[in-house]
Amino acid sequence: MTLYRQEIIERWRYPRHRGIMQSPDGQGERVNAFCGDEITLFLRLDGEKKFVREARFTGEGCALMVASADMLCEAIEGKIIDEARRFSADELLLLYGEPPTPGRIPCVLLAHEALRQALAGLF
Amino acid sequence: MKLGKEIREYFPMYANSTDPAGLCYLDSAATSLKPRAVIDALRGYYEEYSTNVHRAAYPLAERATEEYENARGAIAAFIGASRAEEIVFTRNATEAFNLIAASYAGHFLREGEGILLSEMEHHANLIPWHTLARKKNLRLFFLPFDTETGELVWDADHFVRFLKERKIKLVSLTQVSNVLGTINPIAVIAEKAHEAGAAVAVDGAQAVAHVPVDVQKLGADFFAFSGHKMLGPTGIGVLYGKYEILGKMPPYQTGSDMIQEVYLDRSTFRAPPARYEAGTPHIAGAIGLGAAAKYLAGLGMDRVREHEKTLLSFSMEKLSAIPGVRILGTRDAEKRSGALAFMVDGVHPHDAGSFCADLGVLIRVGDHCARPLHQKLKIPASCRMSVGAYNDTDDLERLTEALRKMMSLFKG
Repeated sequence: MTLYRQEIIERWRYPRHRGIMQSPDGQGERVNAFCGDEITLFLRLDGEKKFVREARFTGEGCALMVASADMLCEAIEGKIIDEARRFSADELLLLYGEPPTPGRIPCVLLAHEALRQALAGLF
Repeated sequence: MKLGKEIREYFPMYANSTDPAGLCYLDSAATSLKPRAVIDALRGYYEEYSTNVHRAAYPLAERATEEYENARGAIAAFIGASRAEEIVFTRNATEAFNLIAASYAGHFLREGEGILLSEMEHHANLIPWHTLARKKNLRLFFLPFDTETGELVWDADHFVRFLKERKIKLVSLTQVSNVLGTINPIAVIAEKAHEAGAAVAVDGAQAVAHVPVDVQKLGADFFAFSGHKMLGPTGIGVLYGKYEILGKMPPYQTGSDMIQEVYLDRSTFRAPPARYEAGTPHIAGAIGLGAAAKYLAGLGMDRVREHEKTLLSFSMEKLSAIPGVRILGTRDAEKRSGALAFMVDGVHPHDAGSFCADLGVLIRVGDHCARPLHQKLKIPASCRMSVGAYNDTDDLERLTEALRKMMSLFKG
């Protein structure tokens, strides 16, 4: 069982970073046209707008999308903004662990696209 | 000869499977496995007589022409056409519908006239009509389906009036739904349609490899299907058309092979089917498809239908016993064929598909090129298993086991 190891299932069932954020500093929305999955990712910065204090996401999708969004939020919290910008799609795939089949890679990377959009809208 | 496990030795994909438990292929509605007879026919053409057709100046080319035309004959016989010239080779069912749209409906239908489709159509029998309707100001109508039974909802008593009042000149429906599996009452609908003066086109892509087809008994003016879904090669398909209708239609594409007389500034066209086969055709594909038709005829389509019906009953019994699994469409195996779509409560279809794939169980997930059908059911996608003559209860046991494992992990 590669794609669905225990951590993925746990994060899908009980995501730690799922939820709406009121008046975020940044927000990104993406839809996977292939399967209809959608995600909104919210960012809150610290008072001096230097680092990501909090990341949250909402949306409907498959276990891969939800689990990877949860991992991504966890990974970027605490990063200074430039670090968050440098956090690449490949790093998210590494975090996910077992490489998904080519057809499922967009599921894992949907949250990353939303993050880039959220970061682009910051300033 | 038996079906199922007994014929797997004739399908090389089984022997070549890298899965220690063996190939568990439940996606024949997407494309079927190919028997050795078809692969040999392709290889035979390429290795022994790979020459062009209809230009024979030497025996090898005569053989190519003969085999190509024999394939046409075998396919005509397989679907009950009255003559081989009613078989037009296309790339696939999609191209066959584009041909009907361009050369029949595009030519004979007038502004304000209508085309009747259904809400369960595959995009192949939907998008060509969108395009044509926009271009020619035609109106599109849709027979709804019952979301519980998956059956078309139509009023047989008033159907003729319904068609006449809306000036519907073409009824284009699928014989078997590629999602719900419903077998539609084409023959009854076609009779009424003809009474109302409308022509009838049938999407036979999900029917030809699964139920006995007789285009004349169906009352089809056109019947479209793809080769690769009926054990044949990819890239080859068929448009059956009644000869007198084909004879009145203008060409679809133009160029070599389809002309009679050519001058610098003008040309005339040949009689069907040549008129609709511009350029060098997919010779190997047509010959391979002929071999597929002969192979299926050899198995016996009545027996294939009985075999698949048993498998469908078995799978519905197994799947409905898994808590959280919901089958789409009728539970009556008599009324369905081939495909069986289902939803799993709380599990995204793409997760179900990947989970099954990890266990070697190959099903399809997505909208199966029938997005309006899914919109009506208010689901983004569904899981679909589908069977062919080579499937057996062992495949369905593996699917059941995979889904049970998935439920215990995802719901545990």
